[in-house]
Amino acid sequence: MHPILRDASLAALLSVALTAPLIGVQMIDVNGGVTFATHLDLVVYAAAAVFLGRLAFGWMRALRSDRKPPQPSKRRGPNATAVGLIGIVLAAAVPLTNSYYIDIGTTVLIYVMLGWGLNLVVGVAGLLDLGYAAFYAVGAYTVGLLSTWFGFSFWACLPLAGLFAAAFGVLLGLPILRLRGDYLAIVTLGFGEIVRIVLLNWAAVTGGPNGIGNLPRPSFFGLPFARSGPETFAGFFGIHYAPTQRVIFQYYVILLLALATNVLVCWLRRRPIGRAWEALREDEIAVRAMGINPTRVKLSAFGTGAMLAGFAGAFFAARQGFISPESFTFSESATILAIVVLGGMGSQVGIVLAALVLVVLPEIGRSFAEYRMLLFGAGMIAIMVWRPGGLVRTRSPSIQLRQMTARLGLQPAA
Amino acid sequence: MMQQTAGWQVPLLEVAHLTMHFGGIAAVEDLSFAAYPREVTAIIGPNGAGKTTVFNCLTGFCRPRSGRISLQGAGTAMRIDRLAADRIARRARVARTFQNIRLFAGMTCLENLLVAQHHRLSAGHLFRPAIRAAEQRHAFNLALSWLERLKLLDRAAAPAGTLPYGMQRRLEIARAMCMRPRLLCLDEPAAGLNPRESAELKTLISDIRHEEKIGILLIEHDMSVVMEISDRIIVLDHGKKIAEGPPVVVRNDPAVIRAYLGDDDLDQPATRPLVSTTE
Amino acid sequence: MAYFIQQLINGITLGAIYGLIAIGYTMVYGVVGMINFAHGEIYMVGAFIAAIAFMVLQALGISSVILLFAIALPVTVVLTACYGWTVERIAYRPLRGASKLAPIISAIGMSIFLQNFIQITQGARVRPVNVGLQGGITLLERGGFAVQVSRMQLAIIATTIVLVAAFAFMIGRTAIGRAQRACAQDQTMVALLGINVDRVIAVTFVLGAGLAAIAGLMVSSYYGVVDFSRGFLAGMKAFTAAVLGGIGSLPGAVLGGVLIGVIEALWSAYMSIQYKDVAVFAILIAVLTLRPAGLLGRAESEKI
Repeated sequence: MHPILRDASLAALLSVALTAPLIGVQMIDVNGGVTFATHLDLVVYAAAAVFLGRLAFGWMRALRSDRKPPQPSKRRGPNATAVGLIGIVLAAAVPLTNSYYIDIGTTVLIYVMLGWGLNLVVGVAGLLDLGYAAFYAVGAYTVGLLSTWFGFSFWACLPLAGLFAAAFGVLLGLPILRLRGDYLAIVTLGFGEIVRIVLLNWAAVTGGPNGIGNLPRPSFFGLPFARSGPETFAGFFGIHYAPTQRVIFQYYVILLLALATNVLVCWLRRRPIGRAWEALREDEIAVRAMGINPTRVKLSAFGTGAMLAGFAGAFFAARQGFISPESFTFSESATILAIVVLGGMGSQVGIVLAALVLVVLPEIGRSFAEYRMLLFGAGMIAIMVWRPGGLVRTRSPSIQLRQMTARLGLQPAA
Repeated sequence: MMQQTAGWQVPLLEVAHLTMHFGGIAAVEDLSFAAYPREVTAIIGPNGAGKTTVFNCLTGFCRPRSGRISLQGAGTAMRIDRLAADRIARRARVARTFQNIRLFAGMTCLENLLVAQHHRLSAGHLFRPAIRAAEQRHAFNLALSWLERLKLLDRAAAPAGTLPYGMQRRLEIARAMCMRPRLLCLDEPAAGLNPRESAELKTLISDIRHEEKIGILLIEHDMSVVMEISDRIIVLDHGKKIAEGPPVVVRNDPAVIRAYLGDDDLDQPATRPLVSTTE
Repeated sequence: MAYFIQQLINGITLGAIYGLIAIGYTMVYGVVGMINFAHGEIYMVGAFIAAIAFMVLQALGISSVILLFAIALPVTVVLTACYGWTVERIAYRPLRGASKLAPIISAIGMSIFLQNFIQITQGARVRPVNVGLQGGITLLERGGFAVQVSRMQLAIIATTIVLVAAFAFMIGRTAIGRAQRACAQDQTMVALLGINVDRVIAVTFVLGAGLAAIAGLMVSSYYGVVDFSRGFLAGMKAFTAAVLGGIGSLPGAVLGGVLIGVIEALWSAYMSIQYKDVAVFAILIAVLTLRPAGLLGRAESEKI
């Protein structure tokens, strides 16, 4: 039999083996028990699709081998700074729309901040952290606990949230950061689970599965966004109270936080420490041979990433008004990792796009919401196999020769 | 090119009774030697003789079973055999290259040279901006001078991994030199080079030897490189030192020839030199 | 005392399950040098396929427990092995030799995909499984408490012993086992010798999936439920077991499995059941931090 035909047939057979048990037969609950329904038509469709797809793939590959390999494109991507400025302008204009979009925008910005933070750890320093949600949780629960026990306001909690999360990061990092890639990943995953389980069960402190509620909202320089009270935002400015005022203000808070994150991350990446992070990702042994202490460098990346997650967590808590361990599962860590991977580990703009896709797509359709994580899992595999650089493939070096010669006051080399 | 070693010179590196075992096998056995500043000291020997193990012990990538390694610093000698690799590199100022090139392949050539000067560039001096700026200038100048020297100015922004092989080897040496070391350890820098690249490498090492006041330790298999640029050679076989001396002496040493060629030649009269003197 | 022995028996049974899954982790790690993050989900796929097989067979009128097991077992193993093979082919083989991060991320992606795949196709509810061996034997009675070993537990332990012995034989004596051990040491050399490295690796994954399938089938029957979220947790604990025993070592995987199972059972019984998972994760972190080679493994060293 023609090899392409045989290949396609085998693939179709495999597809039957894979789909028949779990798609072909579906367990359904009935009163007092369970029964099943068969969807053999789906199995047949899947097999047919795989067969045809594999045929097409085989033919295309046979055709393409006769042609010349594609030339690498010389086209440069759009200027990142220009894109960034456009993005900021667009983002600042979102509150002009209705509160539904503002809400989505707020969520997107939280994930953008988390993505940029995890990107420092995974994309720049090459440390695979699968438990990032733990630091997110530390930030959120800092707000929860400090406000409940000591009556701290959001703004007072914010720096502390970052501080505690960073401390957690350093404490956790000290023993584990010398582990190899896979092991580090599993250990951070384990730590993320430990934090979640503790949050779930230590009800006396964390409120258990019910979490903590009644959290303070961000105030405008001390003026709360309340309908009535001694001093309110609306009262101070002499305008009518409207609930959207708080929503809009919160949006700008997270926008500012995200921008600050971006500024910090970009600044760090241009500094020697950012170069050391990237060098660490490339070759740890060579880094040691340069006289650089790898553990210290890893800790700085880990701790900074944790701090940023802490800030994001604090905002998250204040925005929701309540927190519970449900928001800090491995699924959350995996989502943030998916954003970093899909957006291109190292690309600031790519991460924004990935966060947009993550949040907006499920809103477009119910089915998307259900399939969201499924698509993300498949997307991560696809990206790694086809475009390991992510959707936006850029690496701008931390310093250019031009800049350096300019700093030295020399003429640039001809 | 041979230099007489001045007998009064203080050794830069002193290795005493170095022993290293790997799971029951003695990779290095009771090795003692010295290396001097402004000299190229080569360590040669058949495969498996323990040469890279010596380097790894010197540079802190493995901890010797016993023995003592000390490096002459500014004034005092510093014992380095128990230190971690990054401390040796930073404190004792020992720089090395690797058998399988370990450049930061995804980073640009310029960045590679700057990572080597990490400490200089990130030196504290929070409250003394003038000092910080001066340090930065020195670091940039050094990187620039090496880029010029290697004729890499137009490739400064190219990822190091895209350079031709011979150029990568030399960039790795340049990176090591950007650490301003006292001792430069080169692990098979000529491996895989064609004759033209080999010649460029020899020139580079000789220039470094002449211009800088450092000592160079060299592991190499390419005998033409070794014989031409070394001041003294140490020969290892099965972890033990079997000969030591200037090239002319070593290349005619029967023990050395035996180690490389095997015992069959024991009966041969008047041994053939390892490298023809007419080259 | 009797209570302790009972918990011990429960723990050993649980440990046998973990051991079977752990063998999959350790074999793959030995041959390919990476952690198969999706292995826990493969186990869970096996559990579901087994549950569905039981259901379908019962609907077809088969009611004899022996027959149900006899038919469901090979069906589950074969179908789950297909999943194992596909996972390797799609997510890992294209990335062999790529950067160290890429295969891990791909593995995580596969793990997420599989978990959600089951959740979507079979629903998020926990489903009952009503096929199992009934009854057991009473070992002893002390102070009104009867130490019992159920038939199911005996079957699990016996099956595990047989499988482990078969695997040890396979790895030690057969050609494919030799090829696996050789791949673990030097893949390039093996390829030069004319052995199809792809096939050896694929076989490793398939065997691991097969073991996980059997574990999944036994767990479905033993606990009487299938739950899509179990795979993740069981996978983590089995991985902990593999690490504890010494990653790359087959006896280590089994030993680690039994230890983890016993520790988990005793912790649940005598300390708090809520934090039993925390205990296992803490062991993982402790082992990797303090003694990465585990109990029976060899310390790794990187060539410089």
